[in-house]
Amino acid sequence: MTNISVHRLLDDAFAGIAVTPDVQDLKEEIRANLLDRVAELTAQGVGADDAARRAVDELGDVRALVAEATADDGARSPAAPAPAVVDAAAAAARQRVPVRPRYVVGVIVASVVILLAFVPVIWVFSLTAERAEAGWVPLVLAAPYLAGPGVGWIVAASLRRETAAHHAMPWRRAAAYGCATALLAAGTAGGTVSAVLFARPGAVFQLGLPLVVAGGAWLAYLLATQTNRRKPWVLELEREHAQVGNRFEHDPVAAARFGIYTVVVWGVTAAVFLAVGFTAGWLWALTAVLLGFAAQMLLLARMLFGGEDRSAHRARPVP
Amino acid sequence: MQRANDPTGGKADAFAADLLRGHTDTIVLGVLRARDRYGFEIYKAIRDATGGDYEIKEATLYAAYRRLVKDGLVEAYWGDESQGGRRKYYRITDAGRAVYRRNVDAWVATRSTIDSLLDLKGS
Repeated sequence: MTNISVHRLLDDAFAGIAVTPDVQDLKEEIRANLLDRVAELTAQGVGADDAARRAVDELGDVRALVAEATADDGARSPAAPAPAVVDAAAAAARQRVPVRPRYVVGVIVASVVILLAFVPVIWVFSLTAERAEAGWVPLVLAAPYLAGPGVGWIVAASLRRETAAHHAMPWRRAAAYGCATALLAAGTAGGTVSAVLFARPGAVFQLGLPLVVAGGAWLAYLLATQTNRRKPWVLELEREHAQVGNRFEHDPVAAARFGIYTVVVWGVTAAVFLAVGFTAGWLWALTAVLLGFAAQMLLLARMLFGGEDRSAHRARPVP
Repeated sequence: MQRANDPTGGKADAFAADLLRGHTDTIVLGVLRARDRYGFEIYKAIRDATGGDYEIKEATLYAAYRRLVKDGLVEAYWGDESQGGRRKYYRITDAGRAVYRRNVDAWVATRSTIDSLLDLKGS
């Protein structure tokens, strides 16, 4: 519950501030710091709600904070690049994936493993059948099963890294993608290599197919279950949507008006239904019901979600 | 900066706070020398170093981070935290280290000058 109340207070503090990417960025940064401050306060024995309120209060006037932190955005000299260019550059800087030495080294090692694994294959296949020695055969057969994990590793590490500016894929999911790819790669290459080596096309299916099917099925499962719903920015959107709220709860007058309009809509609908039914036929009368339903829905949408602070929610860009 | 538990001398505190605020950027650079840190760590390091007497306002810090990033003295990157809040880490650049050293040198030189100036007895 602690977190929820911090998020709500933070949203309140930012209410009415135009949401530029820069402000969104600042808000996310503040959010993490607030959570830490709340954790510190609760560790000192302050109650969860009090801690959240104190942490947000300590920020002071958020409007002033935003103005101070993004002060230089408004003042651009005439010689400065056009806003679009600046925005693109800023976006690129924000989305930049940090270079991690471990990743670079890992990809190089995996690539070398893949290349070395296929050296015996190329060597044997470049010789004529008579000159090929039997000693090479195990190496050739093993090659796909060495290279497969290499490919899988590159896939997993890249996925884990790809969205680091937003949120990295959980390592287990990335690893699952890597394993599935490894199976697929090993199956395809393994089947092909053995088919060529033994000069039996059937070997493609006997040796390769089980792995390819397993890898493919796994990959299909992973892709089908891929979701954003646990990502913090999706949770944030959900919270915002929940905040739009139910107008009728805090505006009884609107609720009463809605009741009167509803009676009018269905009264007119009933009258038209009967009139059309007796004159043009009962099948045509159903049109009146359909129109009445449409009118009711439009009324509902307009009255339930219309209202004073619509503009505040409309301006929000999707992160 | 603000005196957290204000005893008496408001004027003297305001003077000290002004003096300190002028060095926020250098202080942040100093905190980042050892390793990359995110906002709350920096805030806490400064707060703990002053024994809790002075608190740098968070607004001042956020403004300082932006300024330092814009001047290329620090780099910002988002952490890998997959849930809750993402932390924005700051890393000092070589230019940042150079500026830090220059500012510290300037401060040391100025400090002795000011010390001797304040010690002048009118004759």
